[in-house]
Amino acid sequence: MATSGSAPNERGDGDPDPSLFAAVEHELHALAANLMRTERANHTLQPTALLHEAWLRLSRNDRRWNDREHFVRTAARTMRRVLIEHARARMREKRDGGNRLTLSTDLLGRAEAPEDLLAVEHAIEALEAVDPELARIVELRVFGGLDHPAIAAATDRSLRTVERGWRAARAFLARHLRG
Amino acid sequence: MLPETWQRARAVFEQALDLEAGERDAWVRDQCGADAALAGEVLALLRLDAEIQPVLDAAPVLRARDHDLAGATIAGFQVRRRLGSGGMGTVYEAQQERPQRTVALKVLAVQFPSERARRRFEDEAEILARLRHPGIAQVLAAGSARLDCADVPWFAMELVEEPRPIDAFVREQRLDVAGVLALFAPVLDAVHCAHQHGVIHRDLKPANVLVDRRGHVKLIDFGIASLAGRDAVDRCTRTGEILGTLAYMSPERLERKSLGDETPADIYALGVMLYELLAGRSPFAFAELPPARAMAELLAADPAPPSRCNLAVPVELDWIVTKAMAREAGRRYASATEFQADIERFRRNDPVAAGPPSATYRLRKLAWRHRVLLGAAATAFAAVTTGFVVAMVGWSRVATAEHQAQRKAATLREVNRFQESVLFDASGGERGGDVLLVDAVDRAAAAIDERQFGDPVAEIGARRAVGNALLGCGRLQDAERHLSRAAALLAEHNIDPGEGWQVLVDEALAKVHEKQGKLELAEREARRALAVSITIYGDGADTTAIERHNLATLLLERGTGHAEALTLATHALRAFERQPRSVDERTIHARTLIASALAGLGRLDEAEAAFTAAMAEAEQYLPPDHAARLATLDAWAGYLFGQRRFEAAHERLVALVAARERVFGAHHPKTLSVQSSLAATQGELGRYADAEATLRRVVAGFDALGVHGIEHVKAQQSLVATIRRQGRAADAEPLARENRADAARRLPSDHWLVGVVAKEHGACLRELGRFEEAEQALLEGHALLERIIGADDYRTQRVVSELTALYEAWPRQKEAEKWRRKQTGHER
Repeated sequence: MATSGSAPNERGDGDPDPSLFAAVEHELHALAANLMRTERANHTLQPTALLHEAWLRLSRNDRRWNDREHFVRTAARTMRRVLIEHARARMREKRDGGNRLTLSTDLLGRAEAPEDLLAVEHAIEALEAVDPELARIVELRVFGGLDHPAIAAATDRSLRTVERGWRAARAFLARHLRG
Repeated sequence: MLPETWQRARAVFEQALDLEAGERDAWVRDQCGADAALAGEVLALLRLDAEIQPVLDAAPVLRARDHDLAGATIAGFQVRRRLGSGGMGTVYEAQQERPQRTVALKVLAVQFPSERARRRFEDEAEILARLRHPGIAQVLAAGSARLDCADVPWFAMELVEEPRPIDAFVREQRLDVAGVLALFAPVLDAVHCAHQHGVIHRDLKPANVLVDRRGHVKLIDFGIASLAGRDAVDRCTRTGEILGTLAYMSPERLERKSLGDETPADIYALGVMLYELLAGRSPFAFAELPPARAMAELLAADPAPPSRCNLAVPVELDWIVTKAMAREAGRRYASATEFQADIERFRRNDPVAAGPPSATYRLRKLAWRHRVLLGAAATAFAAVTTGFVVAMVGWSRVATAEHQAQRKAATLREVNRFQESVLFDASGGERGGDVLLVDAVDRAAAAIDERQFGDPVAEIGARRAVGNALLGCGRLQDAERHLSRAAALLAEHNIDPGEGWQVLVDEALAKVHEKQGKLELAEREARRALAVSITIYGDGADTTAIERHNLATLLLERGTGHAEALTLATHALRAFERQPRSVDERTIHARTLIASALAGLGRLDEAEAAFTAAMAEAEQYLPPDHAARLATLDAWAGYLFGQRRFEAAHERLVALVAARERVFGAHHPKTLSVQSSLAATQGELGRYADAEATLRRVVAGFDALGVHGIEHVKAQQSLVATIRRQGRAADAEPLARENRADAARRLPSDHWLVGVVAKEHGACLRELGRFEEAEQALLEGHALLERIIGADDYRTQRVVSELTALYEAWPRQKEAEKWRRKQTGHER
């Protein structure tokens, strides 16, 4: 490996570049908050906790990200995993009974039970199988909290492509969810 | 659906979006031609698109419309100004008309709330209304109002006047320690009240504990909203805010291990808060660090006790704060009331329940600096701290008379001071620089011998602590000396077993003797520890379960009482499962023991299932390098090895070696002992060169550590055997001789390993044609093994084969025939 001139992000220690993180941090936080609003009320992760959970995992991820877009994509993917795993854990807990009442952030009345989140996850998996490109858009929008222009930038597509793709994806998911 | 089918449908669908709704139907049918299925698919998608558009896109739009209601009148409340918002509610300062008062008014921030959102909002008001406590902002009224053509629920809470976050208040008022404790008591009480109603706050931090104009504390923001006073603390930058929250997040929450009861996480946050109020700074110094570092800092470092920042903080408060902030949720106060009770005890000058934390504290910090030597020692010191807590609990039950209590508090202080000084030394102390822990422990050991203790119990405690530390460093003989002295003192001074020391000393002695191979002795001690624990702590107590667990471990090591071990481990597991967190490292340990016991009983299917279950549980609940997870992996590998499934065992051992190296470093006894197992597996797989290389590393590691016990002899024995099997008896023989001398010097004379080592030397000598010497070594080994493990054991049988081979090679046929007849066919 060259001793000089290597890209600043390739520091080789497995940590995300802190300077990079500083730039995107508020985005991550907004993203976490956005996600939590679609989660159930006694979700035991606060947005901040979710952010840090994701951050912890991102820190352990030994792949490098080359740019901000890459970072955001990875973050959205990580958020998705964290949430899904958490929903699965909640399901198990539910099965085992014993629910302690907690007050928490909510919600616009959407996807309030872990079952719901998992159902959406299944639909996204089905979409991934036939159209990975659209699944990426869904992931960025649902788990990444990105708006269409941001998704267009992150996926290097035109805004129009993203907007239409989103509607197609949405219809696919709705169809799948309806069974 | 096939990807191609979908792509076609998608293409038609996307184009149809450009058309007016009325034109789409005909256009789609036209595009799809004869493919009616495709047309049906696209039309279905278009219908769904129209249906879900408002549903899915509603949320962001509605959120954007969260406008300020200042100036409006809602249900008789004149809204004055917006105080903050969060979640689904926005909080305003408002004037109520009747009765005339200023309130905090929370309004659902969504314009067209779903039924569920509305219900949740109302639940929140109801729950808050149930929490009647002067330290919790009270709900005054609730209802719903017509707002922009929609019914919007609201509730009014008492307004915290001139709110200041508790930390700002303490700074402003320059409160001393007593003042801080007085201010903090109602906080604990309020949190306890919430907990009793099943409400976990989950976001306790100074910004959510406000002090009003009259100096009364109010808990706000039960995870639902930012309430009155938030703007007073809104000066935080975003980064600061995140880190501010982070600092109060318990390790299990940070690592997301927390399942079930979340009370301990609140207790932790309260501990951090009290720390901050006492010390005047956050326990975690990461304000300047980038977030990734801050996370690492939080997960890795243990803060110095608050007294380090504020000399006015007495050591008991250090303990109390540390107990509340314990990394392991189970070690924290079980409730806010217990926390408060301990503070009260301190204020009354009674001995507190929290023990001295400094051992683990300093050790952990130190451990990050030299990870090589410290793993085992850290474990030992953690045991010391736990031991103290256990001992103190036991003691507090017995000690009724006041003067007795005081005497013992003095004793404990003496022990603690001693440990403090030792550990201060270990952490570099005033000498500066890094001091190896072994050296520190050595100095501590020497210091005990010189020191005059005012109280035999203090000396017992100190010797036990040092003995345990020496045990952790692998210095068995020295450990035994101190622990035996402690045992002798217990007897000499007739110390009541009810004080708990007997159990602790027996427990530690049993571990030393187990490691020395004096298993019978160890078993006696472990049994006594269990019996005493049942008497003083009760059959169902945690301590008793731990003693059961220890005895089970020992019986498995002895290889004798598998059935009893199974009963003990099952019993212990049940006790551990009754704890608040029904799954933790102890339950996983216990499951592993059960699996090993089942294997020992030959119930292989059940054992296999139990191992799989234990491993699955460990993987689910414990981080990858957690000690209990590795222990399970270790036991499983051992089982697979015993089943001669060497490939499977090899795979697990490789993972285990890597993990141990990460956790403890390459030259730690624990790493080395797994490497020995790995080498044995490599040997069984016929990979002798690999095995030899591994074993040379192991032996070199033990030499570097100055560890010469059973493990060292075992490793050398394996090395000799590996070299010899490669046809290099001449290389092997000098090592074999050395190892035999080592075994004779370091192991009890009736340990089976002494016989095996003699046999190995004999085999080398035979291959070199030195028959007389070989004969002597083999006969010696055989006599020993036959006496202690019986003629039929495979190890004895190997000597028999060796002797047969020797006499055949010599040749002395008559003897060869005699030994051949002793073979029972057990030899593989």
